[in-house]
Amino acid sequence: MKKIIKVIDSIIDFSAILASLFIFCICFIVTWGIIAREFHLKIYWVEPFSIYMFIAAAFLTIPYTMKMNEHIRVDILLSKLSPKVAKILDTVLMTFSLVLFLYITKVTYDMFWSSWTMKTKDLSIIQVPIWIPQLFVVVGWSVFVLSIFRYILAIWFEEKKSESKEIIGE
Amino acid sequence: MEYLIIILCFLILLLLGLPVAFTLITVGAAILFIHMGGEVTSIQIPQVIYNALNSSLLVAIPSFILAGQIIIKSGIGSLAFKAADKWFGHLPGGLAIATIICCAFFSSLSGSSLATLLTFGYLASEEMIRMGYPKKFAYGLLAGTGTLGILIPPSTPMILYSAMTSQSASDLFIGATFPSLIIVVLFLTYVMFYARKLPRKEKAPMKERIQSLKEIVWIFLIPLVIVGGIYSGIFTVTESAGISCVVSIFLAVFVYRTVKWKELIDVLKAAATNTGMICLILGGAMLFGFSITLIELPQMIQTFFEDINLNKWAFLAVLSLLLIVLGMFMEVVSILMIVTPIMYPIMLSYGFDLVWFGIYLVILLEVAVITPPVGMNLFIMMQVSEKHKNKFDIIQMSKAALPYVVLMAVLVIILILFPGLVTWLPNIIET
Amino acid sequence: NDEDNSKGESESTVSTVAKAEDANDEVQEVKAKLAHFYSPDIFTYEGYELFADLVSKKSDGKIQFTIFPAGQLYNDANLPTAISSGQVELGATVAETWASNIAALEFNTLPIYKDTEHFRKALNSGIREVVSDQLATINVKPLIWTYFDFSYFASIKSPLVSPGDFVDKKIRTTGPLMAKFVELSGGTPVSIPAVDVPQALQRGTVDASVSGVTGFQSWKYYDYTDYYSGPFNPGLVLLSANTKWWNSLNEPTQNVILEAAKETEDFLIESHDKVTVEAKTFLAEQGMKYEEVNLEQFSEAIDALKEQYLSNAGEAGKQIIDIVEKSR
Ligand code: NA
Ligand code: NA
Repeated sequence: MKKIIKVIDSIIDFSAILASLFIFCICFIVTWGIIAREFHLKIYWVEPFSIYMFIAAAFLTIPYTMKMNEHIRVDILLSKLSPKVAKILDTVLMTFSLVLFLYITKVTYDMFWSSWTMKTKDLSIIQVPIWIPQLFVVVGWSVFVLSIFRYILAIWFEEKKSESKEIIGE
Repeated sequence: MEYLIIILCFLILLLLGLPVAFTLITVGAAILFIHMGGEVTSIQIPQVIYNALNSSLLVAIPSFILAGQIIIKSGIGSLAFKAADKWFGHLPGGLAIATIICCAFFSSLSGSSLATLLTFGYLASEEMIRMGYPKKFAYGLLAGTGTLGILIPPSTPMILYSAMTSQSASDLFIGATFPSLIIVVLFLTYVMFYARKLPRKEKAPMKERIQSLKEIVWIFLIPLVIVGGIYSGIFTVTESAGISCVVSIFLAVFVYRTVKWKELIDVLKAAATNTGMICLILGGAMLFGFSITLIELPQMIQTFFEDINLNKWAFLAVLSLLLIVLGMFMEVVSILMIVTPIMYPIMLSYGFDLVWFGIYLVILLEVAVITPPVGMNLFIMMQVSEKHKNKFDIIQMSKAALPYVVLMAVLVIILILFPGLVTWLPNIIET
Repeated sequence: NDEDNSKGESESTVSTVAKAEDANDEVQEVKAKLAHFYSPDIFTYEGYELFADLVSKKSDGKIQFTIFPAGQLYNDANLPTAISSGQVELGATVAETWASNIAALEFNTLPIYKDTEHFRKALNSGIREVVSDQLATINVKPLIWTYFDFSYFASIKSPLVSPGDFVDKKIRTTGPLMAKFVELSGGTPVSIPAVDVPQALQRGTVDASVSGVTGFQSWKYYDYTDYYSGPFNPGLVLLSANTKWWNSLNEPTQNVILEAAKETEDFLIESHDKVTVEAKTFLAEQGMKYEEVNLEQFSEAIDALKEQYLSNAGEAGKQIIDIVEKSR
């Protein structure tokens, strides 16, 4: 089991690193857009690229957020229950989530497929085919499903992590 | 009846411990499924979630978060606190004043409220306690001033609000100017009033003061570049997020050299995690908002308030109470995402200004961060107190933060009495 | 899997049509959603309210349209997919948003029309049919055609009247062809979000921005721009229905809707003409100066633009351009 968790972890981490690089790029792309506009250079790609990198980063990082246990939840009840009952409740909730996001991955794939076959383009000046950003959404959801699966495994097969997890951000 | 079932399901799933974003998606999808059938629902769900994020406004969010993270990592924060201490430490409640000023300043660099608290929480409270300030006062002050990050622009909640209501983000940022100043003044006044009984430091010599300022002089580059760039028209408010990131990376890597390129990837991952968390809630909230619009729930609530003949002000009182209660149990982004789509058409029909409503919402969200049982800033300060080996529990910590809840309530009342404090500046600047 | 899906869909359509034939002499009970992105201060909003009222009255309350205005459900860019996939039965969008799937639908963004009369004549001399055939391929049927006034360039400092005026100017545009036009005339097209435009104009982040006069009025352009010049290209808004839904209605029901659509269209054209005149007067009162543009000066750019349009839009595009030339 530990091995499976490890493999899934490396997929999730890779996806997070990809997302990080996109965020890094966004800052520089936006900055370049401003400079280029000052010099009247053609920068049609800046707006769509920054938006699509943002979309890609957002979806690729959702699984990592799951792994770091940072999807916000109200744990008043979970923390009151006995550890065993809490574990069972958590498993039920996450199995439900697994099914839910499996469905969402499937229907997102359908959306991607329809954009691909209909050759739908966006309304930006460079007319990017929208299956490109949508592909990242499909990949993001797929890895997310894996990360929920990993979470369920971790409930039963991994020792509880230490409490002093650093909280960062909003 | 149906509406009641929806609200009940929503609350039950939340209380069982299903993550907020998952709950929003589940309830939203269920409503669609019942009203539109499986075929249409399966087309709608992915499209609504995708469209929720397909906006050039939102691109600013990871950048504003990243700028804050880099500043935490770079250690510039502690230098800034030392400088503020040197300049204000000798005044009555000097350390507390230094803390408020530092928090306010760093809030103007980052879009989230936790970045500020993580920069100063440990450091400033330790220093205050060492000087003999009461622990309760020190921790409470940090929990309270740590909320400034979302009111003082830039602000992630304001960008999200702007994306959901088509209000200009820069109008919101400009509109937040006076409320930010007022709350800082309120905090300072309270601290100085309290400080009569606090120990004071000796005045630092001018040479030391100047030296401390020299060490942090570069950090002023960020607000300088941003404000200058926006006002000279070189870039827009949303674009300024990218610039502030590039400048803070430049400062941390090349000027202060406290962040190595390798460490940058950790900072980026931390920013990405936050983005993922916010975006999933955003997608879920848009789906939820879409489905309740489809079944005309907001209209129903509006008719309800009209039928019981609730006037504008009574409605606002009810809404404020509701937000405070929600704020006890939920966290900033989730409340914003759930409340905005339901309430903004109603606010519009009552004739409220939507920029004003945005600012009002954000202040009540600040309250949410320091009310028990779920309050992010309380949690962070509890961790800090634990590290200081004088652990506060949630009750003690929320009592410590209570004065700041009261001060924020005062601010809300001021803004209700004088809405011009929010709306006047954006109008003036535009004409 | 996909094949199964489409088979299922067509079967269900057939069965509703069959049911409809059983009682084809009476108007059906119909509930449908109508989405658009206009806010209550724009005349199109009123027009679609009228449409819903008319349909309800003419059917003795049997046909009920629920309107979701102001982008409550979909914004302009998302609405086309929503209509064509049947998420919403009816929706009104700017014609060129359909260019995501059908390049020929960009025809109204070309600056090749003499005036509103010319544009209307061209539409009524065959463009409607060509466009309807094109939209039918993605399950969409246009019902109400609303002409909008031409678009203009609102600018700070100096008006944009000749290609020379475009040089070194940053100009906010909204579509691919308009951006190309700006570029061919020597300017730099810029795309920024609509909510950022007022501040961008005011601070000089951009020098000019494209919109109609009613747009200038509602976004208060007169507060921060001094001139507007044009006319460049006419606007067109289509209220369309999803064809699967449309075909599920029997003939009497369709006729009631078509009748209401015709009346609404007349109302919209009339209000449009009135509102445009009012907006122009209002802008003049606010001190915004109007400069007329002689498009012949831009003939080089326009020819290149036409060529690009034709290369994207294929046969349908060619037919449309021919009709435009003939109606001149
Ligand atoms: Na801030
Ligand atoms: Na709270």
